[in-house]
Amino acid sequence: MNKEIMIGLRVSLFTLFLTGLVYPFMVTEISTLLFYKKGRGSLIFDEQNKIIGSELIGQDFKNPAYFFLRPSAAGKGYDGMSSGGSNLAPTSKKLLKRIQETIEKIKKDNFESIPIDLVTASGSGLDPHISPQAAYWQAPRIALKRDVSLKRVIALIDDFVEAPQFYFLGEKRVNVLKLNLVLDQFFGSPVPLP
Amino acid sequence: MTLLGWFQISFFFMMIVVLTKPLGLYLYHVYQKPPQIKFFRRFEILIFQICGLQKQEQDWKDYVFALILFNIIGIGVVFLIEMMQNFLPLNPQNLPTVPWDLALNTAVSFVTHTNWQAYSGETTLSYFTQMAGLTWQNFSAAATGMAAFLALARGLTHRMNQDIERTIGNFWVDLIRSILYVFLPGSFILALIYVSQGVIQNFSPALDITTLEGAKQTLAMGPVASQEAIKILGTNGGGFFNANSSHPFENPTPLTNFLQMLSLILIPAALTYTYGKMARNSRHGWSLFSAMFMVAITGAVCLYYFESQPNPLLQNLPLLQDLGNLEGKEVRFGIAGSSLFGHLATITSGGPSNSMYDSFSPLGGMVLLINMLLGEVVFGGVGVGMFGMLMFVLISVFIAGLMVGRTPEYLGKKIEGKEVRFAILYVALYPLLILLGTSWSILSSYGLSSLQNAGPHGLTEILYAYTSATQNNGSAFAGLNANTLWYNLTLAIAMFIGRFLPICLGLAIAGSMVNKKIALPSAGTFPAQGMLFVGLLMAVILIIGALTFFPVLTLGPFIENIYLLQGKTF
Repeated sequence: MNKEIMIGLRVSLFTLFLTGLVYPFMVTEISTLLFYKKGRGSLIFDEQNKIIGSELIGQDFKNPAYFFLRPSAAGKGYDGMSSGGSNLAPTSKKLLKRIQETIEKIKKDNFESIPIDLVTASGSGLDPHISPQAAYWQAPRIALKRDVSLKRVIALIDDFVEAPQFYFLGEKRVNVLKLNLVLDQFFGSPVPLP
Repeated sequence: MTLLGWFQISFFFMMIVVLTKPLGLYLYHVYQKPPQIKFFRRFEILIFQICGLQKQEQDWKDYVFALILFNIIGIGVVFLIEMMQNFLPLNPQNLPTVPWDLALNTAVSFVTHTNWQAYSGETTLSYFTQMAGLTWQNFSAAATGMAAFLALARGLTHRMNQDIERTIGNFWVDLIRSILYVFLPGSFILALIYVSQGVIQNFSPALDITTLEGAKQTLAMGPVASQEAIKILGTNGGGFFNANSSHPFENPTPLTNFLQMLSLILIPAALTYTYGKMARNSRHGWSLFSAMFMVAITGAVCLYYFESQPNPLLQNLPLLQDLGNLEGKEVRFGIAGSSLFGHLATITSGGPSNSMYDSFSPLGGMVLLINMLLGEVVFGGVGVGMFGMLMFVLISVFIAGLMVGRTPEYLGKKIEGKEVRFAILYVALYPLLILLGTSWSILSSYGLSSLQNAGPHGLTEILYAYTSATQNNGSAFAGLNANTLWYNLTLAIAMFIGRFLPICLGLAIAGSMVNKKIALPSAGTFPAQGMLFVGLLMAVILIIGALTFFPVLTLGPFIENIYLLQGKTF
């Protein structure tokens, strides 16, 4: 009995050391060596070497001269410290109200039907992507606000539509932060919101 | 539904069929004999010495004692780490100590292989707690499950006439071998692939950044990949972040999504082959595989269909709904990648989520719920899935015996009153815990005050919580605020009983079966392979799982679906 408890403690200590400390530290060391940028969060820097964001984490774009992302349930919107979804049921009044409000806010941009991803919150609240339809749907607004031809905006989106990985995994998508960065590069930064 | 979606799903199931045999064979060799390669043999002996282990066989009582002892030490240590995390290193956010009820719930949840998360990772746990506490228990709990399966499998398959060894093995040896040869190398490789795709792995504090628009954003950091790999491979399911596998830092690309789905189910599937080899009857192994496989595919098809449907309440709004029910889902995975992931997370006892199950359509959410209510035996968790499946096999064989009017035999061993009693107790335990917890919660104000969604969906939220805890799954209808004293404590109790009592019952059966004489098969013996056996087994699983819970499913998801079609909201 006592002997068994001693074994239990020793096995616990040994496995904790091996799997709780040695293993994560080794993965950190080797992955830092091989994939430094990715392991640090796929960060994007500006010319002054300041971090603008992460390729993988969506940002709360409010300025109509930028492409919008989806509504977010993470904190007050795209809060990197409180990821999560709305968890609202399909029959929820709150969900219906939120969707109607979002539609009211954006429907003047384009009279065609709004792609569903633009009015639904993602699971993480940090989804960096929208569907290609949702990007094309926003093109007229971007063209208007930035005073460029619709054709150029559409051509730009064409370049940024990512195919499914290896042509069959996942869905077609557009990374909004990358797209907005290129908008700024081509057409200059917009007037900031008051 | 798209062609691409169907292709992804069929490709996925093909991969399982292809990989089951090679991995199953590998597992068989890992557990049957000491390692063939001299280096590993020496290495293993060294580790056994460090742990003070003289390799002795244990009878079933010693085995159970060692198993529970190890896990109780685990609960104690994880609890202490959480309570002291403000004094421990690797806490760059200076997070305070975890409240005691939440700490206890989390400790029990990770040790019992449930990985229910009443906390949110970013703002509650330090990197040290995540690693030394939770990553450690991700390995230990998975290995404990493997050990439980091995013991039961040995009990059922040992042949007295040929083997000298007459016990069910040694818990410590099974535990250490599982970690050394299965989970550690597997996780290591997977972790590196994950980092190459963008899963983060660092110790830096959260980053404060200024976004393109000039707003402030804080990005959570941490050693995610190492925990992510074992979280999935060990069918544990407790994410580093609150959003679990939907967080882009945990699951950044469709490839990581595919690998996570595959590694969730690989070991549980491969164990069917391993078991077939142990029973010296590969066809029996494949029969178990087919029963699981057919139930799994049916569920996946239903779920994909339900989630692809537009929400009828939104039909009069100016919306283009061809992408399906995207509330709570990520664009990069789409409906196919999200519904298949959800399905696998609930047929195995993993319970990670790459989408928010609370926002699934009523019938889609019901598929997830039924997956768990079936008893987590359709593949199930690593080890424990097969463990539960063998209980259902015993019951099926017993029922077949009753129908022919003979003493039932399984693999040549007689199944007698004692074993059947234990097996029945095993299947009766889950409904008892689930329905008791649910009813108490819906009758009390402290149970109802946690609800986010009203109406029948609220009932489903509570039912889901107790099902998930009792079946050690850990996924959630996360609208329910489970971080209250009532839910933290009752769910912890449900997790603890739901984990260890079934293991005790199963190992008691193992103990009584191990030394039974082998009878030669005769014309009246019910064969443990072939279509008849598979059909009967599936019927038993579906009848016990589905019918027991039919009333409560009617009151929850079914009614919600009818209201949804009528356009009623809550």
